[in-house]
Amino acid sequence: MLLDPSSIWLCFGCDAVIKKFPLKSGDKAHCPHCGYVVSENSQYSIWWPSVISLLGFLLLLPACYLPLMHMVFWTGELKNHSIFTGVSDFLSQNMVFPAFFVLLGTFMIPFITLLLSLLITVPIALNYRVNGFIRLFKTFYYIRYWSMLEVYLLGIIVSLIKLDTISKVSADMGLIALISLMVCQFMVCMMLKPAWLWNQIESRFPANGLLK
Amino acid sequence: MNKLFVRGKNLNLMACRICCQVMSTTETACTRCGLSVKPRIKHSILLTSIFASLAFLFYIPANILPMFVFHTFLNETSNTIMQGIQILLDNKLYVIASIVFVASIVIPAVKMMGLILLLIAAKWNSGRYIRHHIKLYRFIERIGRWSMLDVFVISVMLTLLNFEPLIKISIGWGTSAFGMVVFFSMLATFAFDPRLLWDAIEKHEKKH
Repeated sequence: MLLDPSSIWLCFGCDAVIKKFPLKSGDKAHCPHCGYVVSENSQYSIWWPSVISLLGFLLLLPACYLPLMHMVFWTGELKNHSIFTGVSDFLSQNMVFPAFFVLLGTFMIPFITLLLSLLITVPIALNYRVNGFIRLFKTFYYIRYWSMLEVYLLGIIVSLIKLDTISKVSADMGLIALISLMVCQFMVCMMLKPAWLWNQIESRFPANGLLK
Repeated sequence: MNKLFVRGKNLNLMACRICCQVMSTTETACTRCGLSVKPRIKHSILLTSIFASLAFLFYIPANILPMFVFHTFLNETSNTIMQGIQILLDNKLYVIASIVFVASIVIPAVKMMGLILLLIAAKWNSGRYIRHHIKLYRFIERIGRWSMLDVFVISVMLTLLNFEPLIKISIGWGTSAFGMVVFFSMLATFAFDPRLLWDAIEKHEKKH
């Protein structure tokens, strides 16, 4: 072997071999050939993602249950909309797939990613060895793209303006919960990066990983 | 581009997606985290083309079938995606109309055409347009989720505009088909391995 595997990065975008160089805190190393981020050096404490995901976890049910917007019809009738009423209305018309897509993007994926990030970060922060946690991280890593909270938010804005032509609509309390949940979810996904996580693990458990 | 740089493939090296450890391609499990590692996404081209063609299959009914039917005591109007945008334009909501148009017509179309281009480029690639291919891939990867917008807007309208005896909205199969388009095209994007583009260039350079 010509090269020591631990002295290089491999780019996931183009498979280029890049010699490792020291990164300043907060810096990112980009692949010179395709621009993909090969490595980044983030230096925050492991408590940040766990606290933020706990916060997001607490916001999850309010964001889905509380009315996001309401509409007053000209008969004086008042209608509320929350994520769960939207899903149950799809289901009442036997439309399983739209109900599934709404539930997947706005409840299931945020729920699973926040739960997984709690399960990953809290034991590490408490110096507690958990076997098989790397599988949880793998699941987290692949499903985080499927969260569609920001698309839902745009959907709310679009329908607020659209329905305003028909009758009086206004945003409601749940929207605050939804926006904060979106921010929490976004920050957790930004923070939990493979290289950072492995730095944390190797500094706490020097005996090379948790599986061995 | 005349000479290709040194790549992991030439040195028989690969990296673990989950912990970024670099190791020899002879390994089957990562030497650091123990998960299974492969040098490329397995059956990437096959899976991408299956998901992309499924997405294309659903794209046709998604545009023809009504997204929802609007029942009032006077009449019934069925709305496809294009008719919905037409209504927005009639109400002079140009910004909203363009957002909906981009999210539900342009993005799915760009995504599917882009995927076809990328699939071809992963087979035959001279490396001349590689910068564009990378940009295209990044773009497709990022914009994918935004097409779900229409399904979400309909779910809002469904609850808010349900004044049973006077007004009722019933959901058409267009909504399901449209959701399927977004779902499968997202799967297709994630199944695609951009490293195959560079493999194709390498193969091309060896021939010439």
